[in-house]
Amino acid sequence: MSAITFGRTGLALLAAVSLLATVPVRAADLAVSVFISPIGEVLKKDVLEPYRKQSGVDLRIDSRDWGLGSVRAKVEAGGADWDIVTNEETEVLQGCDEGVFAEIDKSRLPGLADFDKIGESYKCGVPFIFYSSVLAYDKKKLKELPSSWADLWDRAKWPGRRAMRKSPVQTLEVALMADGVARGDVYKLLATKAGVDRAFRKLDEIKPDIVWWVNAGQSRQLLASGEVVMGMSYDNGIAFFNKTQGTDFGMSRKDAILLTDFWSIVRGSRHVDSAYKFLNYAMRPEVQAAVTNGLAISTPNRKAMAFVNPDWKPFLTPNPDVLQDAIPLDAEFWVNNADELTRRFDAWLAAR
Amino acid sequence: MTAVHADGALLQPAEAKRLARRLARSERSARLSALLLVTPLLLFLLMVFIGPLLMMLSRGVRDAEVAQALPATVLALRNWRHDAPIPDAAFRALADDLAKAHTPAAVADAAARLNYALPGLRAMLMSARARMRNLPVDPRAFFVGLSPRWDDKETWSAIRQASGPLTDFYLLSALDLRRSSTGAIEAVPAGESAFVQAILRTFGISFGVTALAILLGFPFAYLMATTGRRMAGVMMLILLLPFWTAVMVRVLAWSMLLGREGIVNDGLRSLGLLSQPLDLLYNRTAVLVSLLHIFIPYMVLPLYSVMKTIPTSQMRAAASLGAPPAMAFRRIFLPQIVPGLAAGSLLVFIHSLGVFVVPAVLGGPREQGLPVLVVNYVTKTPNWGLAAALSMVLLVSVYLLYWLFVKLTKTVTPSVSAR
Repeated sequence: MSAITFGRTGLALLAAVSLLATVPVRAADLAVSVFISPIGEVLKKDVLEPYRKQSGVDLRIDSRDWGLGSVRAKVEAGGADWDIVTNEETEVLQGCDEGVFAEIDKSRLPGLADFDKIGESYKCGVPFIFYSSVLAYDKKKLKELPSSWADLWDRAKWPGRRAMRKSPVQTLEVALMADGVARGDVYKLLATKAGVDRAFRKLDEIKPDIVWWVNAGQSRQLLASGEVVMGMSYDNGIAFFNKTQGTDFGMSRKDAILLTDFWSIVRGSRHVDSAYKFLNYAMRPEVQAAVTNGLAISTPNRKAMAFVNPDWKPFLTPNPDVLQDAIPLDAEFWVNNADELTRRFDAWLAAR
Repeated sequence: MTAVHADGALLQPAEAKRLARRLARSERSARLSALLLVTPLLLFLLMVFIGPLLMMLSRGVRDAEVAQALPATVLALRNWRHDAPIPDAAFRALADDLAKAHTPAAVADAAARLNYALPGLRAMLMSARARMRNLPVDPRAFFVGLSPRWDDKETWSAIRQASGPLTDFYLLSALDLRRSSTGAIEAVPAGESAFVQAILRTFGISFGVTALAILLGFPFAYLMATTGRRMAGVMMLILLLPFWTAVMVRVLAWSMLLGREGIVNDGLRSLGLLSQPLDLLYNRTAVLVSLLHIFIPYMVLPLYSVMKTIPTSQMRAAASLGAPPAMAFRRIFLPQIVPGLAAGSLLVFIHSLGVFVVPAVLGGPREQGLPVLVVNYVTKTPNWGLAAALSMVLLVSVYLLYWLFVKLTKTVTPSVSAR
């Protein structure tokens, strides 16, 4: 076969493959993709399904794993067949810059007036929940209760393994705070090589005792099965697990890391009007409250609190406008440094 | 060329040539029709497997983002070398390029690519674009005023090295190497990158599983091949039973068995053998045990199929000729099962290389191999170039190993059977 015919065959092949790739799965009025996780299930049950019933919109519901990769692949393939996706801070920020998500026209969302300032600065996302990374433990198994990140490092008082999230994101912050760095200085310090070195040196102290988890469910499972004495976990999950599984987990909110999740509109969506209609629905106080009630997770909508199950109120992440003990995740820092620090983190993990 | 008739008479050279030609023709048509039969499969593989695979892998050597977003800058830097001062033309060209980028998305891909090479460059580029209202009179002062790092030759070297269209950046990264600002290849400082270690670890675990599978699978297959039919049936059932359960379920079952409050620890404690539970999970042993459990049928089945073909009378004959059991095993039995052993080993080894779930659920950080890293770079921290390069490294090393394996088993089999 000559080079030219091979080139032609190759082109035809490429065309065939891209044709296959762009065949739409199902034409719907709106396609929404939510996280594969308990919160994704709550959104399906308490937001998406009721919306489908109430509006009569032909709604397609998908699930996606975390990370910008899956959305970017769809946008690059040309057929953005998702209109709305759920997102974390760094994904919103990076996806906004890269043109994966469309900028939100806030004038089309009058309900935002009732929202707290959480996540306000993000141009391509509408916040719908917030929660925080805390130090969690099983009250039944500990005589003395830990109360700060420094206690996570105290192996003399609490011997045994510890659970941490297998990512430099949040872990390095926690290490610095455990080392006595004030909340406000964490990201200033992490921006320097000396600060990063210090965080890794601190992690070295308990490295042999760390069990790393990838999704939040594992962190609670590790506590429940007694594999670890304490560890990083998310506050809402702890409260919810206690209620539904009968465990007696406790947590320390001191120096908690505050996290926010967003709805974003995928750039190139052919159903922008339909997307805004849905967002307006999802932001309603009673709908937001249904999400909160589904997973003991906080809502940025102030008016929603009137509909929230009183049982949950003590467990909700305190509003950061009043909360003095938390540090919001600096997404900008992580978008700029995740690549380098993840590589270093992986190398550190692999080393003895 | 001379050929011989069946009755022993010599063929005339011309006749022989004609015969050879006819033979070749008939063989060719047979080959062609065979090819026609496999064409659908080949096309299918090409379209859904080989084509996309090559497209994905090509990302590991392509470098188009910077040249696309900053064409004038790339042009201005073409003839610049690290020992010369940074040309004013480069600053001007970058200002031009950024002024033309009306949305952040226009430079975001290039910024992300440059950030891989030089952390911080993403923020520098994005903020310079955001501040670029109209062309500055003194571009150099404008950029250096934003960040003193614009005055570093390192910054501009990174841009020049990312000009494309092809790059060795990702492949070098996958091997813990990089190009210095002068262009020489150097090792990444220790502790900042450990891909080679991950590659070696992946291969180490796979070798371990393969060795264990031979050690445990060999006697099992031997017993199954030599025992009575009913017993062999029961053994086969035991072997195939795990296949009826999904891999994920088996992995989770192991995590329950080996946990601190799991069946093994509880059992040992109730027997009074332990006072404190053992940490059996999240280490190398847990991963090896689970992988072995999943892959051992792939070793036993090929071994069994070759062992079954060796008549037991051969070993008896060897014994009657005075060979001690060890020698009979080495000279008669072993050479005949080499193909089965080779097939089983390759199956187990290559399968273990690609496993993602087992180390993720049962392993600690030192069991995380290449597949885990590739998945991470595809989805979590999207760096598809690096993911492609890592896959390429895995693919090439598997191929080399396969080639070595075939070479070795080929030299073993004929030399022994010739005796």
